[in-house]
Amino acid sequence: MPTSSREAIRKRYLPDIVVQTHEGKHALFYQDLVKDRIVVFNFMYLSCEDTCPTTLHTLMDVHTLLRPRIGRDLFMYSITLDPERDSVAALRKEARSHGVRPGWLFLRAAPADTELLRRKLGFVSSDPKVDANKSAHAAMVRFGNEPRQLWSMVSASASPEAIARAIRWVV
Amino acid sequence: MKQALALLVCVAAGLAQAQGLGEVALAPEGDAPGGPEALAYDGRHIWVARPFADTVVRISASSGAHAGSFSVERPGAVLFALSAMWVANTRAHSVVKLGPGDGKVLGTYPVGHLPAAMVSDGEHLWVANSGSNSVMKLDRNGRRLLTVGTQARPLALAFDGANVWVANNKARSVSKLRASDGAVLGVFPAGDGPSALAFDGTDIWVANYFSGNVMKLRAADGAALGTYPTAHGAAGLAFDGHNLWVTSTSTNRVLALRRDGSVMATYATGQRPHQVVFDGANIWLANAASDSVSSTALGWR
Repeated sequence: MPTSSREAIRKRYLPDIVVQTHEGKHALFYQDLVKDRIVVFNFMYLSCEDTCPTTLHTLMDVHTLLRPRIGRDLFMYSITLDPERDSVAALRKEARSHGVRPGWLFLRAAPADTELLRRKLGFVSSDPKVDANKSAHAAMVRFGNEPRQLWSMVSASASPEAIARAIRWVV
Repeated sequence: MKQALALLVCVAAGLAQAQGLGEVALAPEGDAPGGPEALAYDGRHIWVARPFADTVVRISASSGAHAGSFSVERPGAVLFALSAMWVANTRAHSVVKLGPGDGKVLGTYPVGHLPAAMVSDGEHLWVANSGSNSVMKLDRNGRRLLTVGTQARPLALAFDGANVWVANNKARSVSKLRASDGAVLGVFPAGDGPSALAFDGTDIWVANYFSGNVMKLRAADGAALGTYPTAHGAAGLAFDGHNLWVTSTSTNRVLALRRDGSVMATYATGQRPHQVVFDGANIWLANAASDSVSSTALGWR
């Protein structure tokens, strides 16, 4: 039986790894967080001093611009690249300090799963030096409409308005 | 049958590639093993009973750092309830009430033979006496209000908001008692060696140690809704708001099951993991043979 294109994308790019949210819930990445949703992903880590805080501030504004849909059919996920250091408590504190509201979750996964997710979601540079720099991955935002199979990526250094406008194209 | 086979495949796959949870030792290397099986969370700390060391150890739930050690003879169960830490003393057949801040003994109250488990209904403490086949209801001052006979070897308790459930380990059954007056509302068949119970808001889950599975019973009437294979030595069970966590002493693993019984995750633990608790963000479990605790709060190994 031929595999649907949606199923092919799921198998290739959206693994069902177990993630832990800043609220302390354990969830399956695809089944619980991505399936049937419009989603926005970024990677970050709490000790990151340059790119991550800027990206998070930008995403705060994006969150505000898209607020009517956030938590209904549109969800935002910030995934730590440093799960060994970024505990649930630390992620929760960070989320609170940024005024993160429902519909936006900070996530952590086991290190091997984090690396798998980073690669599957395409936060990868072909230049090994750039790829080894964690903060470089924090400079991009991936978004997509899972049921409609529309996926794209935008630089986090774009304005919040530009990012929100790009996301609206897949809604 | 097909579902059971699929679950077995999932379990087997999980066993092969399980990532290890972070682990913290409860005593310096070289100390006699404490054999921890039970643990509890007080809002800030995890308390772990080390029966063979006659101590209860307190560690930080945020870092795993040691935060005190308190003497209690043969602690077999611990529970934070009614603003105190309660410890079952299986040698003196009593429960000991400790102040959660300083671990000071606030009272010692006689119960039945070999108290093995405790649960609170919000106003009272219930104690399962595994050696005298009974459960007792105490008030917060340790006064005995009720004693109810059970089937053989009550080893675990759970509260569903109105009723206390009892796992009768030797009798392969689960009893439902009305919390207000202790009336036995039903006795339901379980697997071989029911050792742990958890309530998920709707259903009662039973971990059957020797059957190596968990059962889901409808709390309203005790109807069996499903049996799901885990692994031999299903000793501990906890509900985290979404998933059920089941330990396996034979495979040194903890499994996260979804409420439909499917396996969501499998993690390697220390040796012989027993009881598991959820602190609102992370799961913690006591490793009896490695004298340690493992937790999702402690990273991975």
